Amino acid sequence: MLTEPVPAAAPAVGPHQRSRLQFGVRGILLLTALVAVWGTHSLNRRSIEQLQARLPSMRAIAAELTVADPSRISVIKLPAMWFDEQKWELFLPSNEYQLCLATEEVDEQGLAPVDRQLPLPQGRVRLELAKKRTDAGWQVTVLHDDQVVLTVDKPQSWDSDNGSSGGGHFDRQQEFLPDEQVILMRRRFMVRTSPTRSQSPQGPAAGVLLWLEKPAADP
Amino acid sequence: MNLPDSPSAEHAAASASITEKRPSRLRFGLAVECLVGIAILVGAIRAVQSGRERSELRTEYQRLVRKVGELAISDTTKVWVSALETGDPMHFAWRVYLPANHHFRVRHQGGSSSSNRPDSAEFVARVRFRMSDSGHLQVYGHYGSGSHLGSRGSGEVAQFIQQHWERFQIEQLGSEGAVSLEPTDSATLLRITVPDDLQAEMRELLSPHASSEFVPEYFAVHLGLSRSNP
Repeated sequence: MLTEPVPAAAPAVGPHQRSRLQFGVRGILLLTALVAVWGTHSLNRRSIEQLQARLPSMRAIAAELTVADPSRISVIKLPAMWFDEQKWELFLPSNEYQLCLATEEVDEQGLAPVDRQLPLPQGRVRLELAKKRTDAGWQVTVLHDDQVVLTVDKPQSWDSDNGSSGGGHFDRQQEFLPDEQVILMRRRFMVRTSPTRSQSPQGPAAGVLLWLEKPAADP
Repeated sequence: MNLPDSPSAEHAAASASITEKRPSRLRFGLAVECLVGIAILVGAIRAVQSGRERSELRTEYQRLVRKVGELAISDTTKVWVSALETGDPMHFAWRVYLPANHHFRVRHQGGSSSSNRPDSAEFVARVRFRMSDSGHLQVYGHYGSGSHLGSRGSGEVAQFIQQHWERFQIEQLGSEGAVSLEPTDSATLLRITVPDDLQAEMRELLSPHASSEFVPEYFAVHLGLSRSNP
């Protein structure tokens, strides 16, 4: 309390007491306002801490792309809603990138001869890779924002249903330097070694390689 | 709260002695009030800033809840399961929390899988049925790590199931809210049963072997949990 006791010498209330009493009321109001603003801030901070503790796991489950540095490539694989669903969301810092698709001579590392390629725009890009059976064999398609942009037809022998190794990358978001190659998917089809056994091929093999690269600038 | 002045001489004398002290007290009072005022101003600015930050995080939290559901974990040593709304009667999903150092097994008609987890984990488990281009009713399952694809009927049987799906009895763990399980429990994540009045009709469409596999329990996913060594 900011009020003071009235001095015994004063038999009645004079001007100085009035000012002290007025100060007292003002003091109470100031104190109330002080508690209100700092109390609100304290409650907000507590709520912020609780939310900040819960959000990382929810962001990871939701697999949403967050662009922390617009000068870098950001990429995340989206949660599959069906078997072997391969979808990614990317952020590209410029429109200089090309999406490349290869279906032959896919090795355990490195790149492969390009079957199809496509320039990509700057900003957020959603890609999907799908493989389906056709009457003639197989069809591999790449969708950009749900529109088919690349198609490769392959014969039945391309994938003999012996199984495969590898798959889509980036279950968790990753960032890359602007000139880095980004391998979205590397899958190699197994080869049958006996009527009951299959194994991963030695060296380049049929499969799917999907990557992103920035073509070298002309000298 | 103004009080009436007293004109008495005693009061005047007392007032005179007190008035001498007033300037310093007033200055002190004003200084305190100024400091409190500054503290209020700073507090108000901080409260507005933290309120804005809280509001942004809350908005993101609510958006994520709509997308992946909410799972309030009050005991991190237990397993927590909460069903999610998918908007598709043939699509089932759950938010799952597993404590650290646990062995997690999943068993269903298409096989089984298991995993040891040294760290706690949160994920969305999913079971989804869909008719394929070739007329097979396929089931896709994803339980944190690994997934499976199987067939649960083809041709006439698949069409019959799809046609009567709304009448099949569905028991989904966590559909009434988050459920906690002891880390050594077993539980049925999902059980889909053919209703009594459709069982005879469905058996007619199936071979005797398939009949026992599909009727009365059409599909079920069981969880098994046990502690593993850290």
